[in-house]
Parts: sequence; structure tokens; C-alpha cells
Amino acid sequence: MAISKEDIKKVAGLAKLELTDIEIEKYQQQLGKILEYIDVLQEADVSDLEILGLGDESVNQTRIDQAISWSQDEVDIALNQVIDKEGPQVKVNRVL
Amino acid sequence: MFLFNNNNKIKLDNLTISEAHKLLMTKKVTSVELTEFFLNRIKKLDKKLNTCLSVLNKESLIEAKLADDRILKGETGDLLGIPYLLKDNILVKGIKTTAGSKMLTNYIAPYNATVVKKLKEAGAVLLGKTNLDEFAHGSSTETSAFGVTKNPWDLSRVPGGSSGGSASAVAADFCIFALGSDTGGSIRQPASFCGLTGFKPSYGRVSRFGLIAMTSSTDVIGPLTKTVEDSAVVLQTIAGFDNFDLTTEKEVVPKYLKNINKKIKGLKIGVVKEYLDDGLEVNIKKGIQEALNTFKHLGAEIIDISLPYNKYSIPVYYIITPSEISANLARLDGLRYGFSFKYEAKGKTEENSSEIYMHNRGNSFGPEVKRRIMLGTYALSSGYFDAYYKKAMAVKEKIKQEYKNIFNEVDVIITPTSPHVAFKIGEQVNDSLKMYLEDIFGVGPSLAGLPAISIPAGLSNGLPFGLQIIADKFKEEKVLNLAYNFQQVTAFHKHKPKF
Repeated sequence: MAISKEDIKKVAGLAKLELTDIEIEKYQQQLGKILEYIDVLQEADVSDLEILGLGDESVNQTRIDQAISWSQDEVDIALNQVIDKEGPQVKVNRVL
Repeated sequence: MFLFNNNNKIKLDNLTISEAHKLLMTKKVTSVELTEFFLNRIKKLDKKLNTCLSVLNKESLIEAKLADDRILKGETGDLLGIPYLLKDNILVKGIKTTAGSKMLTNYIAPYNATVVKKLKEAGAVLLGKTNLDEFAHGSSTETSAFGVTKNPWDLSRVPGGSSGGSASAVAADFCIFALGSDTGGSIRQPASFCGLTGFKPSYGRVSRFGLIAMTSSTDVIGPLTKTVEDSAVVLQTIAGFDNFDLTTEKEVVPKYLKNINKKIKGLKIGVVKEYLDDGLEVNIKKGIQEALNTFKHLGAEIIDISLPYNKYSIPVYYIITPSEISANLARLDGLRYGFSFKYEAKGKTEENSSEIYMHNRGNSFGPEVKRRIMLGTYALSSGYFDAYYKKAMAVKEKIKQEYKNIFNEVDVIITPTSPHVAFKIGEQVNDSLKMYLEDIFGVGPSLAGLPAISIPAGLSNGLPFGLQIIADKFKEEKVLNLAYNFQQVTAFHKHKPKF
């Protein structure tokens, strides 16, 4: 299936990936080729599967919804690699 | 290489877990001596192979000393004092975990993966972390940001992937066993390329807690070892329910060594005829036929089976996998950890965050990771979801049902692990579709969550190849039983590379 340059740019935006013009061209070709191969799936007959997950016997397991505190050394390791922080919190740019 | 100890010359390099265990228990060697031996070997020889991304020189010797103390106190655990290596997408508290990516070059894990915790409790000694395809996306270890790992059987060839560092290291005797992770063949294919036993347990048999997620619905941690018996020992230690991974199975883990040597008379082996056609390298085809004859001589029955939906396993896999990757890797933005550098955002304040994410991700992910994120985002995007993801999930269900039905007729299925031996470095790296087809025999069992092992089945022009044994979900014992019987009457697993 052919995929346009505009599609690639749109998908890169959704995926939050900065791509160079060379990359955009490369992925346009490669993704087109992969999607063309993947299209073979459309011929697979799944008409007898009414509901997705019908054959799956796995069941959900749950646990008590309870916050478990990290030990201080775990907290320190995690916070030491933060680019910008204020107290024990990660500081990021305004999002709203 | 030899080690002199108590005036006895003990050969240490090609020790299996069970052999090393005997030496440790009879005090013929200490864990510190073993650990020093492997550290020296890595130091001396890893320049040739690039298997290790980090080597824990100090930490491993501390762990080895602790293991020796436990042995002196009378403890006898199977893995007590045994040195091992770990794929670098599995977290070890306080230790760098890169996943082979520039994004995580300096990332220090704040906690231990469950498998690491279990191995620590068992007294196994962690020597270091091994190279892999970036975030385990690949089949050759060539997509690592830290250079390709080489195959000790032929330094111009890949070790397979994505657990190529672990496989190459075990084959080169840099450790006694290693852990890898397998999403669509990432333990089994490198095991085949490096002449090892590589075991992907059932999905849900081993906790994924602390494994950097690639495809959460098929990721499994498993061992790369020198024998089937060793695989059983490692699996015994790492298997079981984990409250931090609720996809793990609650049922009691069977004793894997208990029935491993049971005779296989009457066992039904399913073989898909089309898998043994002309697409295979001629020596591999011959090797698999000979292996089937060996199983026949041991009393097993060979039954022709058909798996018509399995031909869709690669396209299904390359929709589901990138889709999950696009979601799992969305957390990597360089703000809380990972690759980040000062960047002057050009847009308005509310747009800045988006620009920073794009910049950090665009400049630190490699080409294969970007390709998969793009593919997954596309497959999940509005207008394409039904045609791709929904359809792939439906066909995956058909593949699962197909296996389920077949296992009413046969005990196990045997296939080649890979259609060929290790390929040359650089040969396929620019052909992503060809690389995806590497997983042709591997992804079916992954999509269906089944246990599957690769064991050495011969050499083709001096390079090893493996055969794959698949069983129904949670029937690891059947896989191990059959593979163990094969290794009792063959010597393919004893061949060693010279490098």
C-alpha cells in the first residue's frame, strides 16, 4: 500500500518523532513496502470469530490497589537522573 | 584455559551449571575463583566479540564471596555461586541499563527486576550486562547503539538477535549461563546461530517486572544455556507468580528436573511438511530430517500436521508488535530520565513540551526503533485501526486456536529454528522486510504464548543450526523432556567455536 509523504509527517507528529527530510523519504519507501507485505492479512478469513478474544481463556487477575512506597535509595537513584527538579518533584515546561 | 586449584588442573571454561555446581559443593573450586576466571576471560577476549555493555568487576566479586560463605554454611542451591550474564534490557538496581539505546545511555535502574531478585536470592553471581538490538528490536544485534556483537563461530557473522550479546557470551564461555528476552524469537534464533540451548517459556510463566517492555503481550524472559538440563535449572529459579506482573500464572511451578529424563516412547511429534521444503538451507533440511529419525528411534511417533493460519504470523506480528512498541516507548521523553539536552523551543509556551519530546526522541532513537514506532502509530491511527490492528488481533486468535486444536492430536511440534545459519554482518541490515522474515518459525509460538526451545541440531559448513520444539501452553515439561532425550544421544550441543 502506497503511503504519502504527508502521511509520514502526520504519523511522525503523532508519535512525537523529529525526522529529517532524508528520514521522511526513507520511511515513506520502507513503510510502504512493509504495509504492502502486511496487506496479505486482508485475505485471511476470520468471519467465524464474532467477538475478539473469543478463544482466549486468560482471565484478569487483580491485586489490592495500594500504594507501596519506594525505599529512600530507590527514590534517590530515580531523582538523581532527572534533568530539572524541585524538591522530590520533576520540573517540566508548562503543558497548559 | 585452565585454572590451578588445590594442585588439580580443572578446566573451567566450558562448565555447565550442573558441573560447576558439583565443583562448588565438593569445594574443588570457589565462586570467587570461578568469577575471577570469567571476568578475566571477558577482559581478555571480549574485544573480539563486543558481548558485554557493562562488566561488574567489583560487585560480582562481592556476590561471589557471599555465595562462598553460604556454601560454607551448608547451603546447596543449584545456582549458588554460579556466574551469569544478563541482557541489558533487564533492570538491576543501581546499575546502568541501556536497552542498547542512546536514549538510555546513562540510565541507572532504581529497582531490581523480579528475575534478578530471584537469582540474587538463589546466590547466582551477576558478571555484567549484555548487548542487544536497540530495545530488543531486531534479529541480529546490529541495531544496538553500542556496536554489533560478533558470532564466535565466525567473527564476520551476526550472533542473531535480539539477545545476541547473551548468546555470543555463553557460546564464548564468558559465563555459565545468560538470560535473554524473547518476543518473537529473540532467544531461540540467537541460540540457533550460536550453537546453544535457548528456551522461551510460556507467556506468563516468568515475571516481566523490570524487563523494559517491547511487546507486553508476547515478551518473555528465558535462559540461554549449554544444555537442556541447565535450562530447566534456571527456569525453575526464575518461574512463578509475581504480584508485580499479574499476567503471571498462579499455578504451582512443576519440578522441571523430575521427569526430564523420562523415556519418550509413544510421544507424538507434529511436523508441518511445508516447513521442511526448499526454503530451507539444504544442510538444515537434512539435519532436521535426521533429528526426526533420532526421535523415531527413541520411540516417538512423527505425525504430519497442517497449520494454515500460521502463514499469517509474520504480518500479524509486525502489526501487533509495532503497535505495542509505539505505546510502550511513548514514556521515553527524556524529561524524567534518558537522553536530553538543552533545547530552545521555538513555539509558544504550550507548544514547547511537544517540541522537546520530538527533539529528544528524534535524536536518540535509532532507525529500527523509529521505523517500528512509525509503523505502530500508523496501524493504530484513526482510519486504519480496523484494517490493521483489529484484523491482526482476529487472525492472532485464529493462530492460537489452530495450535490448541493441534495439541489435541500431538504432544509437541518440531520445526527448524531458523531457515539458515548466521548471516554476514551488514548483509540484511538495510532490508527491513527481509530482517522481519528472520522470525518466520519463531513468532507463531510467541503470538500463542507457547513454550518453545531451540537446541543444536547440527553444523552446516562449520556453523551451528538449531531445531525448535513447541508444546501447549504451560507444558514446559514436555519441551524439556524431549529436548533432554535428544541431547543424551547427540553431541551437537558439545561443539565449540574457536575464535
